[in-house]
Amino acid sequence: MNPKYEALFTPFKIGEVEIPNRIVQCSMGGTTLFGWLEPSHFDLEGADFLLKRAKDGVGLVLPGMQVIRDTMGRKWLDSNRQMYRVLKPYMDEYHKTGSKLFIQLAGGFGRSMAVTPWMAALGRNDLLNKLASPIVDVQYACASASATPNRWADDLTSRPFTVEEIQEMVWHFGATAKKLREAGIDGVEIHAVHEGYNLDQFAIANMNFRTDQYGGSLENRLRFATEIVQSIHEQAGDDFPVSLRYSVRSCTKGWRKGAMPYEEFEEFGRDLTESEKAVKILQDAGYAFLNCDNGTYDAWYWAHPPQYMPDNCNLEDVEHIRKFIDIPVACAGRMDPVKAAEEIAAGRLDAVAIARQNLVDEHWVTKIKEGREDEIRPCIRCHNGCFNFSKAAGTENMQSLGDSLHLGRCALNPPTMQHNRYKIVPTRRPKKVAVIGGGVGGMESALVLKKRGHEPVIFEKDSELGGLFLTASAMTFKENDKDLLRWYRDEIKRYNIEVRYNTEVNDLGTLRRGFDEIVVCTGSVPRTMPQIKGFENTMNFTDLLRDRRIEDDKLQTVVFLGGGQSSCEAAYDMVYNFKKHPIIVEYGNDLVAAQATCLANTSFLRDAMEYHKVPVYLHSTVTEIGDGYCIIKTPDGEFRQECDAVVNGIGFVPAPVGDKGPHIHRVGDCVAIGNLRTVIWRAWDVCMRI
Amino acid sequence: MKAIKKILGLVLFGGVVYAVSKLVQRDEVEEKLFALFGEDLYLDILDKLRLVGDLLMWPVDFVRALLP
Repeated sequence: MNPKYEALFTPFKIGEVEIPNRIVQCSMGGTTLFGWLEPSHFDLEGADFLLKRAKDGVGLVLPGMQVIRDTMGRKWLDSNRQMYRVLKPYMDEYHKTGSKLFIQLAGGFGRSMAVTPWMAALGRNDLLNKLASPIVDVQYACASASATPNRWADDLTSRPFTVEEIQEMVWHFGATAKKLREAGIDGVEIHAVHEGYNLDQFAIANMNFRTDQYGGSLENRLRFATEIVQSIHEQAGDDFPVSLRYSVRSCTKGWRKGAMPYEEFEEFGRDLTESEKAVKILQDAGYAFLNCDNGTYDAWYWAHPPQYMPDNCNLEDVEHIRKFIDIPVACAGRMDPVKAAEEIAAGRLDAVAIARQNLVDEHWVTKIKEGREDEIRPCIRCHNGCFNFSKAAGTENMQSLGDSLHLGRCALNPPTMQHNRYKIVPTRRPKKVAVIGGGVGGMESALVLKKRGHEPVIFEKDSELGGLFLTASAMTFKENDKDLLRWYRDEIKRYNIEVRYNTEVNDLGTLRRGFDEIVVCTGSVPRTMPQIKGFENTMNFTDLLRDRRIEDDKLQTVVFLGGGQSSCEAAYDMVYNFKKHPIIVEYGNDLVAAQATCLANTSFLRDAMEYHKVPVYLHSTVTEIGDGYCIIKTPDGEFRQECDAVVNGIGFVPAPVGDKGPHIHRVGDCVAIGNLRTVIWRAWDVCMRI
Repeated sequence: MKAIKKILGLVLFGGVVYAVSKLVQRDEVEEKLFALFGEDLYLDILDKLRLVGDLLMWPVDFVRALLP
């Protein structure tokens, strides 16, 4: 093992429980032991996932958040006796790994509840809600400290919890913790005075207008959280360790408005001064560990930092509040393990909390221990598979039902949380397979085929592997994407997969003799709109990003036709890293208004455009492109915009080669335009069946 | 008598569905279905069936939670 990681592999204590190393797997929605949205039950998929992480060497594993009262069916978590009977033998097996497991118990979502359209309809209508309430009570699920606006649905306001409801919930936290302890669970983590969840809504003055014992002073606003730990200690024993998921700062400017990492702003939520007092109150109440980050649902990119946020974005704040307490503290949020080890060795931090990396590579800890960190598949924070709650102007949560039922999957690693659906089964009939296209789809297909025992050969028309991902990963902040590309190329070499570079295949018939099967992964080409005069003069993303025209001094003012993810990311790179002047013209009513793109990513881009004063024209289009100008048509009329280039950001269209037929398969964007998840999962779907 | 027949009928139906789902998961059968429907349609059908299966488990989980 590289000595720079050594500090990560030293033990520490939470209360009296020794944790074997400093690596904490943060809770991720869906990676639960007791189910997610459905009625609670012992979840075999979650159990398998968590046990594998323990075997990999994670010191403390926190399964996904478990709401103390089921959303569907409304049963309290402590009432399901059968579930605890199954849990006990599982924990006996789990403990053989040496790892510890704390269950994260959640006090609800409150105004942060990611309501879908049908849920919002129930939430707004008292009668409908009452009729549905034996199965789902949306108004209860969204209840908060006070009547505050829902993060997702317009015109949906949370009702305040009654004192009786709060105290009922507090009691059930204690009762559940007792059952969990009896079943062998090592501790619990309370969710959460963090990220603007329910307990955090009680804690934040601008979200809590109560005049009873749960509102007003800081002590009162934290009372819900402090009563919970006291209830747990009363019922489960005061030596049962209780952690708290905690956000040091809210980094929030207002309702649905987050702050950029480099922005000076007035804090709407919890600021550092209040946090210094809050952590002492929480420690004195009995919390034994603080698992920390920053943010709220209004500033979601702090709690779930996408590629655009800096590494270790919460570290400085977390190390600051650690000085005010004696209990150990972990930091989460794009944490670099090397940096974390340095901080732990220096005594400024006690543990590092890492979430998404555990989805992408189930052996990452082992690889570090064995000095094979170059073989770790990196997380690129796309959120496409694990966490794609999406929203645009005027919509509620647009997440598909399938994804709502199954969080915690991974765009890059299909077997995560789907170990029965996606697995490498050796083939009984090895075949020679031609893979046309060396982008991500082609490389993933080749790897699956090779691992199954087939003999793939990649035909790549360029002189390097990567395809469109070369462009997608070219932006300055996409270091993880570049790492992923390097990882793919290394894997192709490691598995000795033949690649024929500079070999374009246009006629599949030429391959019939030499190959048993053909997998077409030729991706897509930019969509065109020839009806726009001068459209042929547009620049595409490959010119701008991969060929580095973005660095050209002559390119200062650039109009992006289309306000999708690619345009917004490129515009952000231009304005933040190159100090240039992008302009975005979008036909729809919002930027990045796409399902399956997480609000953590899209809200950053939208807030960034606003902060950097990038002109954004919605409900607009470009009607003419000339030399040094374009005509932009908005709802208020047309105007001439001087510019150095217009970038075609209107999307892509599939570009398959050849016809469909027996022994010919298609993978990736050449089937339908998607994202890395659709490409990689399709590669497995097809290549597992060859 | 009618009730018993209905229950037996449901059990038989459940058994048939289970047997078919196991059969479909065998490699040879899946390969033939893949070729018959074409990749796109077959994968789409599988996705929908999985979603239905997930939703059908909800009442099952709810009832299990009530067991002593």
